[in-house]
Amino acid sequence: MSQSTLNQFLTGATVGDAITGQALMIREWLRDLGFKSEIFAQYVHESVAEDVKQLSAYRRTRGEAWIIYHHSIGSDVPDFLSQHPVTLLMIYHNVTPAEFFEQVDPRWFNLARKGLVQLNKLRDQTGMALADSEFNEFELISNGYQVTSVLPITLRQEYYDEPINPITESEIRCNGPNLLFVGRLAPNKKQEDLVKLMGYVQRIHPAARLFLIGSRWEVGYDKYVEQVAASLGLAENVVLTGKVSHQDLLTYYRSADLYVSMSEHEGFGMPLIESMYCELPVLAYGITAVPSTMGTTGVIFTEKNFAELAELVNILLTDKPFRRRLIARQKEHVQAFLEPQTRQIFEDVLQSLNLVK
Amino acid sequence: MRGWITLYDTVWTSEKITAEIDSRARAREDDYGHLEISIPPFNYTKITLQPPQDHALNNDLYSHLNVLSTAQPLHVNPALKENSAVQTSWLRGIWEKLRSQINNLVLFYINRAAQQQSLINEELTATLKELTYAITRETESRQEINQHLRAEFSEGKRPGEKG
Repeated sequence: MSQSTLNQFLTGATVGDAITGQALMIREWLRDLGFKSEIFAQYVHESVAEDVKQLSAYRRTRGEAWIIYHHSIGSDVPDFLSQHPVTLLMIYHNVTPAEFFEQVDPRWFNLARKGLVQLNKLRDQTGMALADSEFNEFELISNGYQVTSVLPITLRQEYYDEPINPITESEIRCNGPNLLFVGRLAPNKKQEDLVKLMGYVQRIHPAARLFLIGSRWEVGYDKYVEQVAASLGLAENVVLTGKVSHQDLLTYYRSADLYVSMSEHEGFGMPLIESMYCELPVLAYGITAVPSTMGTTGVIFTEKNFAELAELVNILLTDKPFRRRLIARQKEHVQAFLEPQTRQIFEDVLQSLNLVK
Repeated sequence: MRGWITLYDTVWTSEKITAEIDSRARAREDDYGHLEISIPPFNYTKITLQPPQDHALNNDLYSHLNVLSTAQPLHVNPALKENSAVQTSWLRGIWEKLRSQINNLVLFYINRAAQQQSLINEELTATLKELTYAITRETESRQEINQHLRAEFSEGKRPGEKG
């Protein structure tokens, strides 16, 4: 091993966040390989304070030539790293286009724009750039990155085999059919289009419900979604749960009837993979990273024809042999995102960089 | 409409499922009539920053916040520009060069201060938005509890009493 320390850096760390989860898993792999490895972040939520250190606590050690940097939204981390003589092994998680926040949230608009500017600035300091989807790799190449590869986000199998919450399960199963979407309440996720779709689905299944799981991230957007639901007479049929516990999240995946995504920007789309593992059929708008994450599974649509989509939802809810075939194929596909496969990819990358023998 | 669905199945093909969907959609329209749902686009300033109904919070708060949220932030960089002094005589040349350098230095510090202030403004706006939003939700929640308590009271119940 040419260096004994390999640290990771990210913008923000919190429990339940896909990037934080991946960083924690990589730290385990690195420590198993004999590296000293810590995670540093600009914003550290108290839920992960024991695992993640503040950026300001970082002190470069002798011989530390490489660091791992997770790039997403603009932050102070790239400027901080540029002050150190280190080469970056970048893991690119994508930057949500600023246009989604224009005239909506000036702060996020600027952070998104900054994220892209920093992606260009970091090119010369980066020795290799990994993307968590083919879509993200394409963006890296478009931005002039030459040494790139794909490292999918790992699905920690043991977390998804845990028991579900029987109380939540009975609350979900007491009515339905139940549609599910998981993701922070944000304009690019297009939850309002799911509510609109519900307006059409309800004509076929009057008791149908839509569960929107995710933090009320963009102030006011959640209220807008609630108002749209109320204006369509769907206040009782659309449930915004906010962020839920991991056990409840599993329960929703395992108890719902269909996962539907209308999102117009996904850098990877972890809930698609989670749904597949939890044997929930997936119907998704095929844009950005969604087609590469879904591979040859699930059902992808490329036009938002709401009345027709409602009929497609109906087929997916009622054609039981079709559901069984979909679930089986999804379960097969998701194997590529489990730990043995992704860990091997990561170790091969370290080997190609002569960081491990 | 063909080709908008992609799936990999042994029974349903893209063409077959599209035809089935079209047929069902036509039949439903024949039975129940045409359904056209339109929703307003998301516009943060118009939709979210509405004061609670009982005027518990000052409307000015929302008005100020709307102005803050839509104000265009400054985009400046504290870069020192190239000296563009034209040397017409050696003394004038020195003077122009000195004047230009001082001018650039002043601009550098002004831009740096403006950049920092712009960042502070954005963070403060975001903080105020979060706080106002939290206060609004709490106020609405309190209003609901008050209404509930009033209803119970008018029915002759003690607060929290069942039945």
